Amino acid sequence: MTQPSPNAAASPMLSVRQSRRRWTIGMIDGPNMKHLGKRDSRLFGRIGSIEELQRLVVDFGEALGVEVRPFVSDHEGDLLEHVHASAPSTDGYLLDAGGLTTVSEGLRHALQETQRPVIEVAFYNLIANGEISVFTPTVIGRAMGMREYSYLAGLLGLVLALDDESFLNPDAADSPIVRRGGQPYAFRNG
Amino acid sequence: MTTLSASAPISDKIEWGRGLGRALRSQRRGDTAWRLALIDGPNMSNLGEGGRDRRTYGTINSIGELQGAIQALAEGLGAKAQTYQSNREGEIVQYIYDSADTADAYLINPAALTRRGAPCAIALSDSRRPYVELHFANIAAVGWSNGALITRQASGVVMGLRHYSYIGAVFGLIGALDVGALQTPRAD
Repeated sequence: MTQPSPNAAASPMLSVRQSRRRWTIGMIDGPNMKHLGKRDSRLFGRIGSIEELQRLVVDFGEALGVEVRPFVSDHEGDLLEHVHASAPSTDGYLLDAGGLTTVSEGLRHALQETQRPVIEVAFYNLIANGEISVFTPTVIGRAMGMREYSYLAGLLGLVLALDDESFLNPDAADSPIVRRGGQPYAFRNG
Repeated sequence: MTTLSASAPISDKIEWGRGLGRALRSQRRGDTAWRLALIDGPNMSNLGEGGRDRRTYGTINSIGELQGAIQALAEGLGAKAQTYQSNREGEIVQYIYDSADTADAYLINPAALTRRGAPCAIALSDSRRPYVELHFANIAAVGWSNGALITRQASGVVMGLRHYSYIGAVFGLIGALDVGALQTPRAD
């Protein structure tokens, strides 16, 4: 699933990263995100379309030396089936559940069962907007409030954490500090 | 390839941060030397062996290592970062008022002040600078999902990726400032 990049020497990031693995990252956008460009610009800024967002993230992934595979749907069932089908060939996910953020137990379960790290991303600060995500307690991390740069911040953090054999790297040896399965450590709760 | 084992000397990790910033610089859409201020709250001075729980905080060896790597990362990206840590709430409040004129944006790990650090949240609000809240841990995993004052007023939040939360946030914040997604009144 993750071969060394054929252009390994081409990316300046590969001389800095702690691994040369070309991770496969699933980028999932839920309901309403397909309609970027028609959404509230006070929350979503000037981005013109979902395709523009996907291109930005895919290109940033190339610069990091990883492959980003975008998927967007307004249908919850399609999102579940996409997660089921993509998990075996995916190392981690960026998730913007869009309109399902506060409600979808089904998508949360599907992602949790992949045992892959998931970073929840959002254009705006959901908490400031009164939206409490059902995903946050079970994903590894979250990046929000920097518009489309939330996706890039989340992707950068995810790739560096996947590279790190003391954190999310799927090849890491067992250790109390390794979180290979993508589950967050509930500090002070044991 | 850089190997960045827990036992690598601090200077290696700082240079790693600088190299990372340089490698990412071409991904920016602007070239303003944004002045960032990174604040770490109570207990963050206790990072390292025998200190804070490594299951949460990973292999970072000291607050100085973290601050040095973040400063170097910002420099590599063509920006600047000043750093501050205190275990005393009042000192952090003072720092925010003192630094507002020389900072375009803040990054803050409020740590133990996350839920009840209203004075820091108010100081940040008074600064009129955008700020991104940072955490090593996913704080929602222990039930802190609703967000206290500091979170509700934040421009953004990055958490759960240990020190990579900081790294992702530095890049994201600079990128968002570059494209005008976050406004800051430059004082100079």
